[in-house]
Parts: sequence; C-alpha cells; structure tokens
Amino acid sequence: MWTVATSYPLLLSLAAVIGVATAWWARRPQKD
Amino acid sequence: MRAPVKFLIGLALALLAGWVWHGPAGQGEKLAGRMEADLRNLVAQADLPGISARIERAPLSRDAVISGTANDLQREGLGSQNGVLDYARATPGIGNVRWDDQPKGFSLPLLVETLIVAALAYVLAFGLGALLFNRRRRHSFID
Repeated sequence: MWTVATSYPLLLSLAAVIGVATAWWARRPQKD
Repeated sequence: MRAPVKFLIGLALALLAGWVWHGPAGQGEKLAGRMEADLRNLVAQADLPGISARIERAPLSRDAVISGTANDLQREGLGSQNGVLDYARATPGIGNVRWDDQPKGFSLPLLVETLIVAALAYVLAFGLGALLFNRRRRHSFID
C-alpha cells in the first residue's frame, strides 16, 4: 500500500482535491 | 441533496479517478514495468542461467514470479549466500515472491491497492475540509 501511495502523488493530490471540494459542497449552511 | 449523498458522490468520483489512473491512463502498467525492470536486474545478480523473472499480471499486482530450473539451495540460498528469491525480495516495493511451481498466495491486486489509497486520500481531505468549512463563524467577541 505504501509503495502505491508514494508512487502516485498526483492521484493522491487529485483525490484530496475532490475530498476538499466535496466537503465545501456538503458544508452546513451558516446561520446569521 | 443531503450531505451523506454528497460524500458518496465525491467518493465515487475519487474511485473513478483511481480506476482511470490505473487502467486507461496506464499508470498501473507503468509501475509494474518499472518494478519488473528492477526485479530482473536484481535476479540477474544471482548469475544463474535460464532464470527469468516477471511481475504477476493476472491480475496485475506487485507480486514477483520466478521461473527456471534451480535447486533449493539456489532458490533460497544458505546463510549469508543469497538465493534467487532473496535477490527478488530485495526489489523495492515488491510484494510476495514465489517460484512459478509454487502455489499463488493471497495478495491484493494493484487496482484494489490504488482504489484504497485514493479512497483514503479522499476521506482524509474530506474530513479536514469538513472541519474547515463547518466551523462556527464568530460575529462578535460574545459568540
């Protein structure tokens, strides 16, 4: 697993970007 | 749309990216090819004629398969004298190593490893993003 993780930094970055973008999309509405 | 559904859609996207990376983009085959070249260089150091080494490709994994005629001593070595399998095990990133007449043990296909890594990166980033985007905003010092 570690070999795959260190061999594919671009894929890891892409998955992380998708994760952050989804977290933003799924965020709770703020109360004013 | 509810948040868990959005989480699952994002996860599916991350897994799709992992599959495209491994298969159509050819990165799985590229990694296996690189490991196979290292494996062959190391196995050649055993100086045994008629020995060949390859990476398991059905399904594609990090496992090495050695073939050719060699006795137990040549295969496993003795004491500080390395055998062919010892040289193969020294390959960076290699998984299980076996002779082609030995039964195949359990190991994860490279695609599954890739999907697990993509899913872990997604979940970690989602968690950090959720912490960041869902924190309460302060409107004044008494909030």
